[in-house]
Amino acid sequence: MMLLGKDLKDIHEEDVYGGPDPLANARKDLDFAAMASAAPSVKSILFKAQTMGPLPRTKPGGKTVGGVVAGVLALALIFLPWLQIHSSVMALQMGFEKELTRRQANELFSAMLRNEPRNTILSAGFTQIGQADAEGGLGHLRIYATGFDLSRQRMEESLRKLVIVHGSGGLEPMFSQSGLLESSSRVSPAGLLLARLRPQPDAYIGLQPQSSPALAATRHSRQLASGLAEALSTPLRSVQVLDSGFVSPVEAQEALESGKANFVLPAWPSDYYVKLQPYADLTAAEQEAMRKEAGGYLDSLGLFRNPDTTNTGLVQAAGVWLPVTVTVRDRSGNPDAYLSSRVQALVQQPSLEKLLAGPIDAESLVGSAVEQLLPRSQHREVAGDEYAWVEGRRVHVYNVQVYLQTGADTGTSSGKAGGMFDEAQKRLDQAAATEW
Amino acid sequence: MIALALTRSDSVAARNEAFVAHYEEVHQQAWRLALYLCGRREDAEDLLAESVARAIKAYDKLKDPTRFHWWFMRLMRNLHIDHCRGRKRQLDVADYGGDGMLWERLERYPMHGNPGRKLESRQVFRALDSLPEQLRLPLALTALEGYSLEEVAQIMGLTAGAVKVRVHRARKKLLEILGPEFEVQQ
Repeated sequence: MMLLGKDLKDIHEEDVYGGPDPLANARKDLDFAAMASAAPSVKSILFKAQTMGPLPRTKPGGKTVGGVVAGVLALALIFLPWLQIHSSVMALQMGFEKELTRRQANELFSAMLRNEPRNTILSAGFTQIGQADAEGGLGHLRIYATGFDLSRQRMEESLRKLVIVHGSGGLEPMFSQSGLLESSSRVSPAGLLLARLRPQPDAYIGLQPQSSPALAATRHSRQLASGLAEALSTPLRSVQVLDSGFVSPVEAQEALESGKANFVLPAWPSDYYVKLQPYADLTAAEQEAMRKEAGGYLDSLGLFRNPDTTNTGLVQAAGVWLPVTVTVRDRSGNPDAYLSSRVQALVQQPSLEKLLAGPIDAESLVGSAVEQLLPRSQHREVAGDEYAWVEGRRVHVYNVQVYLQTGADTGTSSGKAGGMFDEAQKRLDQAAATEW
Repeated sequence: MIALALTRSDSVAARNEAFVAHYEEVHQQAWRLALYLCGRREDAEDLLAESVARAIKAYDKLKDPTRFHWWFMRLMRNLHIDHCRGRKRQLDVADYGGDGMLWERLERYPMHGNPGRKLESRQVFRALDSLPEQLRLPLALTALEGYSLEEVAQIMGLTAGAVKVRVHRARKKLLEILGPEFEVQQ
């Protein structure tokens, strides 16, 4: 094929003007002399060069400025603190107009503990009416719920659902808010990401268990500290809280020795130290009042752990006699009040007749409860038995120590509808067990 | 002090004279290049004047005065890229190539010779002007101005091979525009 009179292979050779190339012919027709005469003179171009303004820059200028502006905006979005982080600790009390028997109260609260909503700590109290101590005795059940980063509406909704599903019919819960600690701050997205990547507080205070309420409690140390300051200002206005927070038992000892803490409270999920100003100048009675007030404050949030009891929760608090009690211990041998209360709630207590008939296998009873809560956990049960006098008769009672060989995160279900609570709990337990 | 000032003004005057002498040599070719680049006479004048203004400022940086021709042509072409390419609507020749009436009025290619061939050449020039700049410029500089591939490469800041490819493509494109009657059998 020929292009304009040249073969493709030699088309890049020097043009031989005068050949058959139309472009070469056209060049012949071109009047260069006319072009030269039409050109502006050198003088006029030189004059114009000295007098004209610069040509407007059309190519990269606008784009560059736009790019820089976009870049600055993007950086500002990433690094300026504009994201609002809201954090709250809310204490709710739930009561019932209708009176419940102690058995009903136990069953209801045990079921609620098993299906504890996420980021919520539950505790309960039972006020007996009259003198009847038996399980059929009537009384008022009061449930205390502490929620972290949960709205009142959401807490009420999830607790109400639990009552509807697990309570006996006709129970209408009534809620009242007993405390609210709020704080909000602004962080940048980059700061938020960094905070997520940093080790969480539980990593250094050695939390056992690492359940969602435990983690939530440690992450809200700031709110708890402000609430504590408020609580302690009631008996003594001049006292200020300089520092407070969760620490491991070892760190608590060190804090006491170094003077970083004035006193350490047995709290859940870990010990809680408090540093006050002034403290040494206070009288012994005032110091005692401070400790009591601080303990009361933690107790109001369900975070106080009474060192005299190994169990927490309604089952013990309500004064029900339990032939089989449970203490769950972690790998270090430390008792875990939270897991203990949850396992305790799952233990199928033997009837009095069965106890009177002879010794029972308390270890397997507790073992199956642990299996139910932590399906794939490795654990070992050791039962210690003793005697107690019940209705004038001497019967066997058992305290079973559960030694967990692995860590535990029981997980909790949150606000699922109706009969889904138990299934959700099972799934979470299985997931937690798989993580081990 | 006065002597120093006089010496300085003398050296500036000498430098300017040298520049003007160099520029006079390339003025005609520079003007045609400006026309190839811009198309419209007024725009070509602006481009040339701005190029001269820039060249005067940068003249001291020119180490080899014998290369003034290529240095200036290159400067003008770069200036066109920076300042004029974005204003295609006004300044790109290719846009005039498509508008017959406007193209005729520009009288970019004054011609002599017989009327019969003149019509044919006019078609060729119009087709040439309708090519995009990266094809039009190498073809016009080689086929009309008589530059070698290496010289065009210096003006355009390309390699000779790249210029060769562009010339080839430009010729192919030109044929497509002109139609088969311009295809010549050997």
